Amino acid sequence: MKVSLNTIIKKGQKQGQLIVAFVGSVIGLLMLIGVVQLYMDYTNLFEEGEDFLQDGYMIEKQVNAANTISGKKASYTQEELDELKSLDFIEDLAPVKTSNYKVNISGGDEIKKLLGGADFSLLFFFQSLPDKFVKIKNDDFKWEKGDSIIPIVVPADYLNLFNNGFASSQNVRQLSGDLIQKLTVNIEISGQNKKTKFKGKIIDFNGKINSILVPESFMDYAKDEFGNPDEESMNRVFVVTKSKDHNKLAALIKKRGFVVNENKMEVGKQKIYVQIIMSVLLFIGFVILVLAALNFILYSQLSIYKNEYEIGVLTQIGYDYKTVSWTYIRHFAILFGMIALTTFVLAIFGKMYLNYWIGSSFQVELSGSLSIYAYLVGVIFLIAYVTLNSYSIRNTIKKIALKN
Amino acid sequence: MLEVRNVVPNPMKNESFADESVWQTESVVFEKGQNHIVKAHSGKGKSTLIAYLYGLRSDYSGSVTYKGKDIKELSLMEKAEIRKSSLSILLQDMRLFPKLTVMDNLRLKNQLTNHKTDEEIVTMLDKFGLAHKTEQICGTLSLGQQQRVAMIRALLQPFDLLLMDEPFSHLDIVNQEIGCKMIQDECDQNNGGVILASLGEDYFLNYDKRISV
Repeated sequence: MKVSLNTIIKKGQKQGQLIVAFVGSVIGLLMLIGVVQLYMDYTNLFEEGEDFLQDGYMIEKQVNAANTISGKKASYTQEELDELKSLDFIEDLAPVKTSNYKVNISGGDEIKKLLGGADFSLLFFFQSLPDKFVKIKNDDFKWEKGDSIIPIVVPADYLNLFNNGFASSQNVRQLSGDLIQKLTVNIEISGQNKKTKFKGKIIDFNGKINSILVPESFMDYAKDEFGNPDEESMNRVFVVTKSKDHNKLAALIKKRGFVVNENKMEVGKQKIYVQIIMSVLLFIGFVILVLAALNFILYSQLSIYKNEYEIGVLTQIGYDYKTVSWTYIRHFAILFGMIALTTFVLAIFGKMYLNYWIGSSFQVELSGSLSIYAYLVGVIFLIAYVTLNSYSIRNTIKKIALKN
Repeated sequence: MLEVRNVVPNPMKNESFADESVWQTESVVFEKGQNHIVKAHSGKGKSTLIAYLYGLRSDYSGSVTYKGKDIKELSLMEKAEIRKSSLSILLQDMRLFPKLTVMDNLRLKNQLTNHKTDEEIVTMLDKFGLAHKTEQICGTLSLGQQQRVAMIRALLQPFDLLLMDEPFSHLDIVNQEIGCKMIQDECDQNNGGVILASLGEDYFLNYDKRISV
């Protein structure tokens, strides 16, 4: 029967100190991967649905009483656009093109069937943005002359309005986004004494622009064919700022009496604040973890020195320091593996609880388990710790062996 | 095999020594398989000499060589190999693991060398009247019992020379004789010899060489 050198290590260990070192490391590691996980969740939450357009703001000219009375439309002049473009914090901008022809949207047969015979028909307008601002993840957002189907992007608010307002008050069924994307609507374009019928296919929803977007190629075609050149106006400009400098933009908007979607602006500000808080938390978590690791390294040093006599005797009776070191290194690597395991188990349950809590408190769906990055941070730390601790153990034991 | 040349311990460098003292002699050689006795009164440096020979201390001028190689120059790994297969040690303070059982103390050494079986170890304990103590924690044994366990541990390896510092100080004359016989038997089997540091007695061994300190 073999006697493990571990028996000697274990006799030199104080349970209380071990528990403190263990719990400290679990807290530190949990904090670090917790912050990483929160950051990932936060990014996912806020970037959902914003992929369609580049990060930017829709600035509108304010409609005031004078416009209403005179009948003159609130519109940007070319000079104003040039001036905006020359500002140092503005990366790029483009006026939004708006339909100067009639758009009539009505439900097709499929929609009629779904809504139990109800139909709708409304006059609407289209807008379009240059392709460079549209981050097309969906290749369907393209139109060429001759195509009978127009891909359209609808504000996400419309869907909410329909489901939570119209559908419940008129007692018709609610529609999911996925289902709507499978349906088509009838679109009739008219103007200059001409009329053409198209089919519209909703390919995406966006939370940024409060109008129905069509591909720019269709907009140009329809303007040529049906548009009234006298009604050209530029009352909306899409602006992309350099870096995340919202303050200068906000000041400009206030000074010039422009209108911007405040909510989108706030999200932008919040994003920065949250990023700062996350960075601070990440730093604190990292500091705690480093302290916990140092505590553990000190603890392993202490338990080696508690066994200094035993290690000395082992050396004297013929054990080499590498064998003795390896016993300690393995012992502490296993211990730290247990710390990592405990932390991951706690983190996985914590994440499940967070999903549930966010879901029930904020009606926001947070899905998935622990992020791969959270695991990665834990594993990288584990490797770094084991390497560092192994190095320190070997040195200490070598020092003791040299005295014997 | 072990040679002491012009060695003077640093703490004693201002003292004067008798002509025949090892500290005064140019060269003293300890040969494999021969029995050596190192005699002196207390305080003359017997334990110091054993410690130098085994590489435990290096606070001296001159040189101690093992097979022609300076002991101070041996690497830790080389030292460990020598201590496993060529030189064995039995120190005055026994150096057992006080928290482990008698059997675990002996196994820790034997599993390094696979020199004896568990049964052979129990037989050795039995010769010393300790067969019933195998599972007792070493720290709770009397000094005499600990000395016997330490002696058995020193014999659980092949050796060219067994270095012993006052190994019988806590033993009665009966156990001294048993111990000496056990040691001589091991020497005969391994072609080994001893270096025994003693205050004056020869105990029950025959010596090829006498050295004074």
